[in-house]
Amino acid sequence: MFRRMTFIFLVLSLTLTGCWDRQELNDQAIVLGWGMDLVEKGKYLATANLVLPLASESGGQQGGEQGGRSSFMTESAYGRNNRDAEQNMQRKLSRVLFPGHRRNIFIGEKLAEHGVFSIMDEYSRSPMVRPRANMFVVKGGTAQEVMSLAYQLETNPAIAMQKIQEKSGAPISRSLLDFYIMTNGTGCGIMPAITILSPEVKTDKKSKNDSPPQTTLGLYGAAIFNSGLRLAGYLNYDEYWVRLWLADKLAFRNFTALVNAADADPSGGNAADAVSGATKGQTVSVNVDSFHRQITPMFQGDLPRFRITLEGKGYIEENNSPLDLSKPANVQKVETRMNQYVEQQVERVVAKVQKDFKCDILELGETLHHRHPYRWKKLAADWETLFPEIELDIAVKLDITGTGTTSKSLLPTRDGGEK
Amino acid sequence: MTQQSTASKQEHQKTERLHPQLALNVERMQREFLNCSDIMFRKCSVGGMDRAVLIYVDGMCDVQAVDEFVLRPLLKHFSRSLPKAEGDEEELRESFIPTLKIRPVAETQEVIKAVLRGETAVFTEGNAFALLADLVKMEQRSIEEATSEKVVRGPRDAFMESLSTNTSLLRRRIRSSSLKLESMTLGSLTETDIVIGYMEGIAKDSLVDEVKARLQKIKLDGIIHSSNIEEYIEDNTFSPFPQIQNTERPDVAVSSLLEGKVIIITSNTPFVLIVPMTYWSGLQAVDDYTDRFMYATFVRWIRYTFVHISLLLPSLYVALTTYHLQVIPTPLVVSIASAREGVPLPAVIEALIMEFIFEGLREAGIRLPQQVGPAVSIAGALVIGQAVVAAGIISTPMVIIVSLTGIASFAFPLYNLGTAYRMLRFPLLIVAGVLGFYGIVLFLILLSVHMVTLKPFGVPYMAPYAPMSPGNLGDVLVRAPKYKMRRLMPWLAKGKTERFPKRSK
Repeated sequence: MFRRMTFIFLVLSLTLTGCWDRQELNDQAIVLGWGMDLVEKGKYLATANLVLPLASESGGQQGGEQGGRSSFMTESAYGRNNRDAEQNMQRKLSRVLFPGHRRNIFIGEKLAEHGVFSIMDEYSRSPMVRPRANMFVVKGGTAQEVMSLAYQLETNPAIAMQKIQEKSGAPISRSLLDFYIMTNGTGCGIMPAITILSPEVKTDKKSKNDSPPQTTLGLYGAAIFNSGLRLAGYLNYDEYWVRLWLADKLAFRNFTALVNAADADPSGGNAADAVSGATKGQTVSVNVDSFHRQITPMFQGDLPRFRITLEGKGYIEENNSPLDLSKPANVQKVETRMNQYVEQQVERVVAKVQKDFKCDILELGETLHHRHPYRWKKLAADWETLFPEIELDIAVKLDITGTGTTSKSLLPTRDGGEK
Repeated sequence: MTQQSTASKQEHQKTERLHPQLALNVERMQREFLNCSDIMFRKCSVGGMDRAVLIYVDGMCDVQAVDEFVLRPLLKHFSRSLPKAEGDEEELRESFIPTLKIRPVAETQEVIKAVLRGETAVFTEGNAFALLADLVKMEQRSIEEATSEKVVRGPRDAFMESLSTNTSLLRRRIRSSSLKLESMTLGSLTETDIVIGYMEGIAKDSLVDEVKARLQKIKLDGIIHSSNIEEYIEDNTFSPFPQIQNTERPDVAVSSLLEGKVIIITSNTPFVLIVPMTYWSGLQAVDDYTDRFMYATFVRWIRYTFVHISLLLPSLYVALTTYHLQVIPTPLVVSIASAREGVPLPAVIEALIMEFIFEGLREAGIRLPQQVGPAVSIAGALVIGQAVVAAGIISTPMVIIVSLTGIASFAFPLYNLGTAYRMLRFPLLIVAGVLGFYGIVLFLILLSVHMVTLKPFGVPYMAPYAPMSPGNLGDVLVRAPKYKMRRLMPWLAKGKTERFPKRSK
């Protein structure tokens, strides 16, 4: 009897702790995106992107005159930091802000230039937030501008950005966590940069149902932060992949190089031709979907140098050159040209990183740390000054495994081509 | 009145013997069976005097056989030996009543019991004994398909109410003298026949003795079903889990016998009890052994998944949506949020209401007369599926959860194991609503502790997993090919655990 009573009281005591954090789903405002802009020193403007459950339901069922697109709302507030702004925002909201699904954090350019150190602690400290979030810098704009923009394909611009980033060759979307890891390594950080893109050519809407391209969100590339966590510069969309490849995070990329008519002749052409298209040439595109990189540190005295071998496997997806791809020798030529082209691109970007930004976002320091931990101890303190001067030996080896569904072009032989 | 007086009466009459005088005996019987309109007295009068009286229960004896093998020879006998008053036992029995099962009985009480069992008693003038002819023939249905345990492939016959038919179904399958079927009688008024079956040499003596001892301890006035026995002999009545398996299928009973278990057949019940039961045997279906082993394993995993769904799904949903929103993928959370928009009740209450309605519908569906059945299911489908959602009282995901749980709770091969889970769902739901995952985990810990402590008839309930017996795992999470399942559980087997030599394929 005594045992039974004890047991009952034990069970009852469990209920005393219960319910304290119970929160019905409909009493929560689910935050999908969070934006921070700097207003003046010590004062921030926070923007939240919230799910509108009512709209997404009726939007899905009825379509309606509003187009069912208004399934998100943005709300903003000033504050001295994230939590402060959140509290100020709460007074406008009938539901509790719930950051558990905050997978996208946007930083205005001004704040990025000023330094993100002052706001980034909350993104990992609060038990409610997820560390597998994405962080974006808005190039040439504020976070609020981006977050207010309706994105047509998705119901919510915050989700759209995350998906765009995933579809641009970076496989895992967790740039916040990566940022924390990187800044603890060599001190520098990198995060994707986005921007607002106007249509290339403005087309007028002639009737009500026309849908010309609109101003929309786009991936700009990457924003690079120096060891003070201040914005050091950007890599644009055509440069970002180099960093991804070197960090072993690139999933796929299409390379387009020029292959000129002289290539039909084994001795003709050089690397410059492949890039500039100075001679009469046409394009070949290779879709590479398997990447491998090897960074080998070597020492000459006390100073390290690196041999970087970049390997990839892909197949030809477009061939506008006169080369007859049914001949293996011609595929070989494309491969050579492609290697020259990619190598030059990589060297250009790496030089930019070394000379202009002076930030080791290529994870060279980390590699050194892993391979030669004792030497790294000596070098670590001076790494920031050493890095721009480090010699790099870059080799690209692309392997073309196929020529698509046709080998010879289905078009008749053209100007300068082989018979 | 009257258990006491009945008992004392019985005590008094225990040694009462029959009288040589027919009239006295008949009078004694008539007194005993006063107001029992179904007890028949048939007098055989030859030459103006009553020579013999037949007593039988109407509807329980084979009238044709009695006519042919008892009444006719009797009359012939008397008409031939008219002057001879004292017939002797041998003569009567051997020459004149040519039936297989006949015996003389001199004790009154024994005669009464035999008559009530359906035997025909023959009293003759001048003999202080009655001849009991076992010409019992009761109305019974024919062997039909098992209704509570359906199979796709496998034998179709099922146990039925008649005890002798049931034992014959077993003997047909085990043609070995080591199948022992010991009979006993339980119930002071109903005098129900019970047969304890076991395989000698496989079943442990201690188990058999324990079963017998527990059965003998039962002091009941009446045993109506085998379930009456079940609650008397099970180890832990205050447990939601069944500790005694029941089956309608002879093949299940036979395979249990071969595993060293003991079966209890109760007359007038088509459900045979199997002791001891282990948890996993409640999750094994007959089809597992008739299907190919890979498919059987696959199906078994589906079943295990559904078993857990039936217990956990509503609680997980409630815990996730009220406490751990961050665990759900974002698009799902958005669609659940929009479906729940405008629902006035908290998720726990919503789930409790829906589960309650579902259980009510299920109960009504079983109890209602067949003609009204469809009406309930239509009303149920409309009420649950449509109206509550359209009215905005219950959210659509909740309907999905509840119906999925409902389906899952019928995936149990053993019905009463399913009821255990169905019942446990409610406390778990409340705990999940109050404490979230923390509560669910606590509840499951308590439940597992309870389950591993159960030891029906000395055999661990969770065996062969807890405690672990590696040789017997071939029939738990997977269903190994039959030639691999060659070991008996050490808790059940008497001597060596091998059932057959290795690789006898």
